[in-house]
Amino acid sequence: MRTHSPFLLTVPALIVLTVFMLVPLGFGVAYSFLTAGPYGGAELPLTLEPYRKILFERDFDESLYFTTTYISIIARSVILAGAAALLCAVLGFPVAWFITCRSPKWQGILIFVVTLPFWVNSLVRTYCWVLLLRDQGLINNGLQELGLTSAPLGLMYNDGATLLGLVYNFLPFMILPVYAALERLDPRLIEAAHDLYASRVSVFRRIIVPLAAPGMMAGSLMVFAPALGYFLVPDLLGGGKSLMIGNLIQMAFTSSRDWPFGSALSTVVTAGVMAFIVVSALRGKKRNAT
Amino acid sequence: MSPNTNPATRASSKVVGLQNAPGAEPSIADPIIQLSDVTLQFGEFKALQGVNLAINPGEFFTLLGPSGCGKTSLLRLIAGFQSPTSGNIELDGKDVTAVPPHRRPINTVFQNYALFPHMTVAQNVRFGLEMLGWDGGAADARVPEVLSLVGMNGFATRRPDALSGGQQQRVALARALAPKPRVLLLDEPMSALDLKLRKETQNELKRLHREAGITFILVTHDQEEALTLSDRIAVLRWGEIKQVGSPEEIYCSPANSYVADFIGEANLIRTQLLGVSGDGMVMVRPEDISLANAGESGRISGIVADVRFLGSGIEFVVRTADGELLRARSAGAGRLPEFRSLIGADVRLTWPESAQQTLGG
Repeated sequence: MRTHSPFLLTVPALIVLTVFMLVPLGFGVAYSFLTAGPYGGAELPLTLEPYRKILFERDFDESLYFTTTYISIIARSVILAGAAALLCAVLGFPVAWFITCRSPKWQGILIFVVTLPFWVNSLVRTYCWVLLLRDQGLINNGLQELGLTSAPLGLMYNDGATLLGLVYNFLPFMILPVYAALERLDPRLIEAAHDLYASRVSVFRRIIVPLAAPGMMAGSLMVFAPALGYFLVPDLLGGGKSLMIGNLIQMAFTSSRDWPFGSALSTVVTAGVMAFIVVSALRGKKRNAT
Repeated sequence: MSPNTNPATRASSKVVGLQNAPGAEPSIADPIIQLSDVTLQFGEFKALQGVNLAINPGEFFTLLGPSGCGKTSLLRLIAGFQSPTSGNIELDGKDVTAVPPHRRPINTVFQNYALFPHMTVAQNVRFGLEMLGWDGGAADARVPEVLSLVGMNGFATRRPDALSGGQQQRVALARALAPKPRVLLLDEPMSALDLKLRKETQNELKRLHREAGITFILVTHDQEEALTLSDRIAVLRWGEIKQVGSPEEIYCSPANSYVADFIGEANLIRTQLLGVSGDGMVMVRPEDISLANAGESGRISGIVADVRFLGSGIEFVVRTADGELLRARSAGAGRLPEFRSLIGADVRLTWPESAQQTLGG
């Protein structure tokens, strides 16, 4: 009986994962091969049309022609999510290092502070950025009051605003795993490197960064994957000119009532992210093996 | 190996004294490490107070004491990981008190070895050479050279986590010796090894010290290790040096009762009990004490409280008139039943004049 109990304890989690994750995912994949119903939903027959729509548009005479509309939105999403992951790494690493160097008591307080934004709804937080960035917002008004600018700078509704929103939203997801990696780093390794004639720069480059790499890798995934499918930030800060896949999927399910197309886009994003995770995990394993 | 053969030409100038300027060769009599009036304080706690110490070139020097005596702090000061609160540290006659560890030609073997887990054995050993700016060819030649010195040549491409504790320790030694430091610091390097491996490693260290020809400074709490390996020992207690001397001096003529008690086993007897003049203690080692023959008066008398079998001999525990327990050892394990019958009997103990040491405080 004792040997069975550990497995039994995992059953609730397995049920939750199966019912609430795999089943909807299966529905999503299944819907992506169906035909769109006239008032939303999906019906038979089975078709590849939703996937075809990502690359080709149908002309009036039903002939297909290649379109880059959706491809460019997917590419923008990948680039913005990648840039967000990179910026989060650059900004998050020093923060994580700073926290690691504090006393245990302060580490607890600072980690709490890093997670503090999670206590406020991200919709509210993103609207706060709207208040800051819009033409009559705090920043533009402030700059004009100070006489530094004469007209509002177009701070919103561009890729930069979207990127800012993504970095702001996902920075904690980078700081926490990097902190976890740095906190495990044995300070005696740093002493040993100094002892072996390494300057502070060399210690950082040769010891700290390589040993924090797994944390940065995990952090990058935790930023990149949700950022890729995020729709709140591009919707509020990016506007119509800076759409991301998330907006496309949302629109497919709501205004254009094309559930199969939304499902096909979701499936492509999910498959892409999973492929990325598998490849980086395999590369990590290979690096450890040699 | 003289430090002048060091192929580190470019970067070594930043490292104090790694390469001596011609004509500035220090004479043999000058200490390589000199600590003057060194004090280290953490808040109210004095980790080291007023330490003066001179370590000679080529010496195997040991800092010996119980945990918390300040021996590791002293090692960290010499390595440069810590700065003294007051006092100064000289290396080859140059003040290095404010010189950071990466500018001191001193390498350390850490207690937990602190091997870089993301590098292979060869990369670990090569690290210091790269940091010193050795050219590739010289470093390529040096790595297998030191690895074979510690018998780890076949392990160059392994990662530290694929090595046993003893192997990791050898790699740590190779890594610290590779840059040809002037001084090698060893922070309890054998504390994580089992007894048999520790004995082997002691011999190994002795050999490496001979072959490298540089100064070794060992920190240990193991007095046997200190006595076996060292040319000289400093015994520490509560941040103070209680005695510095050769193993024989420390063992045979301890300067005070603390050293006598810490090194080997000692009987400490108040002088009044022996009718010796002066107010202090007399130290006699258990192996020097024997039962007085019939008719002999002996130096002190007492009641046999216990007779213990030690394997190599027999130990008597004798309670003196003022309740002190003295231990006396004798060979002749075969006479155990005869000696056992002495429990509870009055005995007189004696020892040769030369075996007794009068100690201050």
